[in-house]
Amino acid sequence: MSLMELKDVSVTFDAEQRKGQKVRALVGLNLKIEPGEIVAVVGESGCGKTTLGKVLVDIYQPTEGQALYNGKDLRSLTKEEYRKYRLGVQMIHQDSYAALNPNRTIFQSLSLPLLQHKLVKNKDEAWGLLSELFEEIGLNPARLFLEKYPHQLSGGQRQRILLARALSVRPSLIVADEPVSMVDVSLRISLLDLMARANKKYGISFVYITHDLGTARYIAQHGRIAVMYLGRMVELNQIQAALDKPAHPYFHALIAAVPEADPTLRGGKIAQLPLKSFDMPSVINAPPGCKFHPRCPYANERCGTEEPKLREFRGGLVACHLVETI
Amino acid sequence: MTKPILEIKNLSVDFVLHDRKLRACDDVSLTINRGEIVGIIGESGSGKTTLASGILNLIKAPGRIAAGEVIYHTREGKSVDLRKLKEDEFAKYRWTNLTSVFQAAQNVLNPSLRVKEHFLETVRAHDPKAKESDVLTKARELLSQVRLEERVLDCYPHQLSGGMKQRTIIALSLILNPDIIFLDEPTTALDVITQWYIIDILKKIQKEFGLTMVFLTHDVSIIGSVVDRLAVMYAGQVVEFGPVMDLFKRPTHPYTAGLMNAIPSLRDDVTHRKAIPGHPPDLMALPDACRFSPRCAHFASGVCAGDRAKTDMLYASRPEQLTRCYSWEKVFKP
Repeated sequence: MSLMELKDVSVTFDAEQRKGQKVRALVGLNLKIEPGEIVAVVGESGCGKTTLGKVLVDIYQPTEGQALYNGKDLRSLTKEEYRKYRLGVQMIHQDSYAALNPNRTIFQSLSLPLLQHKLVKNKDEAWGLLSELFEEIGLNPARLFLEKYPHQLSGGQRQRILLARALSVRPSLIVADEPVSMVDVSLRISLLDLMARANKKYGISFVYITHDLGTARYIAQHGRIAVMYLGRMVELNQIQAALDKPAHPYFHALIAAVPEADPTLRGGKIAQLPLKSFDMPSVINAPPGCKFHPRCPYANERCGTEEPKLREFRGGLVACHLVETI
Repeated sequence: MTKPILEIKNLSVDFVLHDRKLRACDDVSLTINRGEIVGIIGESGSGKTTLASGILNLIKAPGRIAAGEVIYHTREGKSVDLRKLKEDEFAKYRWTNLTSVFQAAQNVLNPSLRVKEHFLETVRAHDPKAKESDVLTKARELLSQVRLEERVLDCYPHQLSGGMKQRTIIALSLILNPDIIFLDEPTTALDVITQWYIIDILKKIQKEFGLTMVFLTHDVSIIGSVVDRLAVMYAGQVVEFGPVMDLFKRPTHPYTAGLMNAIPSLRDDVTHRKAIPGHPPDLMALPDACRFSPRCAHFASGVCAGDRAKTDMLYASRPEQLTRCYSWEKVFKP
């Protein structure tokens, strides 16, 4: 049984500016997350990857379809089961400053869920548990950090604290939404390493949401990658296989656009991206047929009318009519 | 023969906070040559933006430029010390000679003005008698350079996407034919595909107009394949400066070496990637040693004593490469 499963999930919002119009943030999405695996979700802004993460933690409810936890629909859980689900699935946010109450010390913020859920008997126990956890993720000495307020810490330290907060309730799944995009380059790897270690040591599954393919590859070396475009999943595969042999034309373009730091690879860079246009179409007036066809260099007539379904290709899933010929 | 366009000599910028002095930019000296692309990289708080603001004389209170000279060599061969100019004299150089595209550039457009009014306003601030038709012809040309359609001129900023706004601002910054442009995190907050596109446009513009470009960013992977020379800043100081290829292949400062090894990429082996331990120092409480010593493996292992006085200057590790690490020969054995 999958730890968490999304079955034909669609999420629709009302358009803010234009009354009566709908924004289809997620359309017919299927995803299974197995215990102990890392799934990276990549795509440009507006592709629905954060909505996906928020459906997983039940901040947004699917307009259509179901989200299942251990095989049970979230809406059919009993109160006790729902409480367990809430503890079992945690989220790490992008903006570590906004995710912590500025008026509370780190200890005040982090001990609250532990006491609320009776994971510890009293504040002393909470202090003990958090100190241990802090030492483990490299916030030494723990006392110094527990007594501080969020503004007294650096971005990298706050992001570690968010990871500690998620780990403190012993979850089975952590949804990490761009956890390192606001952290300095020199510290990113150490945070990713901590997440990979938590994954190995405690068997915690991770859903790593990002637009940065480099860090996705780093953390999900043995995991899977899901590529999203305008609310649809267009490719799902083992990450190394996907990067070596991308199937969907959009994923080709995405990989080609990743900047390469090494100046010796300058000559190897292609002069042009395999794209017809650079701007994403609006989510409100999504094009008919394959959502990618206006930008796709390979598109033919069929792509403009018929939306491709996810189907098996080279061991992964891909949504493209022409994938065999590309 | 490379001619310098901008010589920055011992520039220091102080911020006074609660009677304490914070030196955000400490004794920076750099020479930028005409027509080249220079990258300045460093983590947040390392002083990149302060340096650019210092050069452009845009430091606001409580900050002030404590010392230094910024010498600008004009196209006509004159040399001007920008630091000695009065505010109204400096204004003549801004936009026409030196221009900048600052961070969060998406927010610099006035939401209640159409794009064309931004162009008109900018030109008329320098030449009140400029004819509208002339300005708009020029603006159209520039917009096509950044691959935007003419109709953008009649748009309000909210009608444009992030990438389009960024391109509009690049076009706007070129309206008065500057010869040096500072780009502070020009692609942060943009998607990879848009980012690729903007960098591509900038490269072509640089070639066509022979502009001098200075990129400031925290992410070396964005500019690694674009810039000619690279300066690395750490805690307000330039710690290494030299040709980009040398900094990549043969860095002579432990911070540069660590930084180059900390970026996960798509191609090479990821298992060797390592973060730099610790975090950047608090500029209010700098160690009485080399500023990088708390994070430096060679200091921890005793190879280098981290003597502060010896890090007050730069050493030539190669003919064109400067480093602040005085133990570089011991640390980077051939």
